[in-house]
Amino acid sequence: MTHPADIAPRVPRPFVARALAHPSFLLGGAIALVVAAMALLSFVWTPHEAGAIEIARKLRPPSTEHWFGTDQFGRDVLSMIMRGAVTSMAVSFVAVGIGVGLGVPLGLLAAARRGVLGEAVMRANDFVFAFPALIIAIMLRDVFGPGAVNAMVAIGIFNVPVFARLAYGAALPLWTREFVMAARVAGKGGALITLEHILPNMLNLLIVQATVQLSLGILAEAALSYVGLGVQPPQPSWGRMLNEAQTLMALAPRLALIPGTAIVLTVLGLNLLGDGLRDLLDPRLARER
Amino acid sequence: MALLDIRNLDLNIYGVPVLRGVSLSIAAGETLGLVGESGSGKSMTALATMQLLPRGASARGSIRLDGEELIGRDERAMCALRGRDISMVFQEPMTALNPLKTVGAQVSEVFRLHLGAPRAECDAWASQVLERVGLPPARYAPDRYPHELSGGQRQRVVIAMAVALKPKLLIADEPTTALDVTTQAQILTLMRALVAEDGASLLLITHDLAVVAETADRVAVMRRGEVVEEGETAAFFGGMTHPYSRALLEASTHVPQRRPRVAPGTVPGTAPAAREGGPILVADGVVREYRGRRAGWFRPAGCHRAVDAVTLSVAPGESVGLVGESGCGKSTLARTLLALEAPQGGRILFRGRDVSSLDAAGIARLRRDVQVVFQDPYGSFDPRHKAGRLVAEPLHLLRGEIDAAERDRRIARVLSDVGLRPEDAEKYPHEFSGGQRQRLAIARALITRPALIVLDEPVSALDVSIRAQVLDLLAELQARHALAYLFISHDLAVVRAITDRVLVMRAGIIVEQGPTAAVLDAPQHDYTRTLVAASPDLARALAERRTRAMPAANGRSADAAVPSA
Repeated sequence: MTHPADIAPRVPRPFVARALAHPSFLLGGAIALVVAAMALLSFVWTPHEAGAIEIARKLRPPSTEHWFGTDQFGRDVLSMIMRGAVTSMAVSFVAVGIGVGLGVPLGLLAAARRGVLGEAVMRANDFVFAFPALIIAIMLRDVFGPGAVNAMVAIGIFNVPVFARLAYGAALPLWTREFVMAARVAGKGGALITLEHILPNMLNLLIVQATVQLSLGILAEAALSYVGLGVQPPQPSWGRMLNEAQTLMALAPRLALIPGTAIVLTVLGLNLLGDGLRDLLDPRLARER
Repeated sequence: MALLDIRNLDLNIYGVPVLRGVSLSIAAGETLGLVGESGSGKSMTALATMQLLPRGASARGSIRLDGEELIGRDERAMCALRGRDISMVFQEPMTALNPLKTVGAQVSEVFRLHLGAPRAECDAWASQVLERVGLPPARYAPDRYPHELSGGQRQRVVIAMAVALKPKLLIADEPTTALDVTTQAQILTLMRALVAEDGASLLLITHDLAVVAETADRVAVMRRGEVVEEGETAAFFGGMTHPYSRALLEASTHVPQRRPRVAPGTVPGTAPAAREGGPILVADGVVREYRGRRAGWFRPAGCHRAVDAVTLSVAPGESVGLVGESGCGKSTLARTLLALEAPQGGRILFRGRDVSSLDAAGIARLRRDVQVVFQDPYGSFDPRHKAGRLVAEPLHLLRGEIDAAERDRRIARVLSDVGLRPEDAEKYPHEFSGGQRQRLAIARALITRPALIVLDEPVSALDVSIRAQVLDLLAELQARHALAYLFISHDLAVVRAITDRVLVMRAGIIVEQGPTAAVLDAPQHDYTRTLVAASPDLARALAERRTRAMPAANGRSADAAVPSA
């Protein structure tokens, strides 16, 4: 039975159609895909063995054999970039994983149990947030020594309060919404409501934030490796390539420019992707577009 | 010649027709009431007149002000016109004012923009205008910010800005919808007085026929982008011809058919709880306080007492109304009664047992028997779940008792109970209209077969015709399932239509209670009297109009036009 005065509201356009019409989502997605494809490809094939030293062919300019040339130890730069993409992606993925895995439950817990427990959780987060990833990495190095795992943990710890705050901030208004009230009247407890109503309704926000943190993670990994706190030789890393190119800036600027461009492009791509996702996933904007 | 003359106005927004052949005219000094339900094109007509249309809009036809065409006029010319010749009062005064500027500066700005006069002079004029709208600068300092004023005061500021330059035409788009009834009455009186003093014309857009009957000289009814009927107010209410106008009038004054209360136990299989004697829910001196911000390190925080020693009870099958203006503590009381929040004082008894002493099973029993319907048909559903799952959510309380087949049976049954189809269970909330969503909310409250449903402003967000349908549904369900209602509303007409007993609440305190008709017809407490007097009442407004028209028959042209009324 339908009611005459009830007019069905307009249905928003399907997600895929909107995604394909969104320039920054497409561009960002394409860049991210290229970097990911490059990283995956490097597991089975690189033009030359990545990191293989051959002093005889050091500092060769770009050629058909070495597309990006070779560095001061005769290593093929393209192969290093491809392998470096693996390092960058692995470190920042694990770091975002740590941030989401610890931060989101903490934020949800603080929002569900307000009062002393919630305050304690959020203030502890503020405390951690006061330390930049670099400081955490230095502390970790003093305890465990430098390495890729420490970089992941350091950036991950830095990500925890980011996600905790986001989850907390998104959950608080959801808890006052009428559908959550209705769920409480339906006899559901805090944990169940969080799982069924709170978490799914903030998923969009989390995805967008994760994309942004991924790009920050890549930047942070490069920074840590640049100062020698991250990935150790001979494992290739964009940040360390920058570091090693530093003394050769006058002689072969491309050795700095190529990894630098790789970092900039990847970060830009992920940020565009995050922007695009935010536009696409935000239901208020979804109707406009 | 008419001051505003709209002829055959067609409006498309991104190709979707919004207005179709709208023709309206307003004579100088006349008040036209534009009535219609949401989406009927009332506001778009106003925005077209102001030439403030949204992106993608294209208008055809003619809008003439004092004989001059407005459509196609360039933006600069319109800017000079807006505020000076035509001005507008919006629905929501908080968003219509700039929160970062003082109200005095905002009124003064109107003069500076249009007249380019020195600041001191503008400020002086602003003070005069604020005085005119009932905010004398001596008492209400103009250097206050919008958030420091009440809703009614803010709307007065908006009106001050609108009438500052004595425009020929004032457009008021639902100017009182966001306000309480007592404030609404004051604002309408103010607007009538201002318009009469300045000899201005008023286009009053509203969904409320009673407001139109009180204020307008002529009425136009819009539906789906078209003007379906137009006429002089008294004549219009005396003999409307279009079926939609009649339906609107019927819906506005609709009183649902309420069958006499079902004797407990006579309907087999429904609400077994109703057979147990004694009240379902009792509040005994309930106090609910909110702690304010701490004033200092060693000074304790102040308290806001939202609910102050409220005592009430709801018996099986009974319909109890709770009326009061926004912020009086109605909804807080409802949440406390639903055991969503703990009271700071007093007790809540569920079937004679103190709720604070109930164990988990007792609370589950309470939730099964006491369900709720909220006001906002859009906010009360998780947009990510399908209707079936949403409606079945309270069955969580019956887990282990019923199987999946019974669950599906119950979903189908409550959906058809509320006038939806069982297939609707597969739809998402956004696929339903506002009225249908409110039906869904009622279905969700019914699914555990409760004895009492708390209805928190269940029809306030709905258009009149849908409101009437939902009220009918509520009355029918009450009779069929021997339900008790606690019906919370600010709308006296609705409360009168559906409740047996009523409690009037003000600032956390119940000031008066008794049988609904007795309380509303012969209020004892001053506040109830104010509330009743302020509530728009169609019959009363028309009666007053007739008495006003008689001595003034040779006065204003609009009244003189209908000696037959």
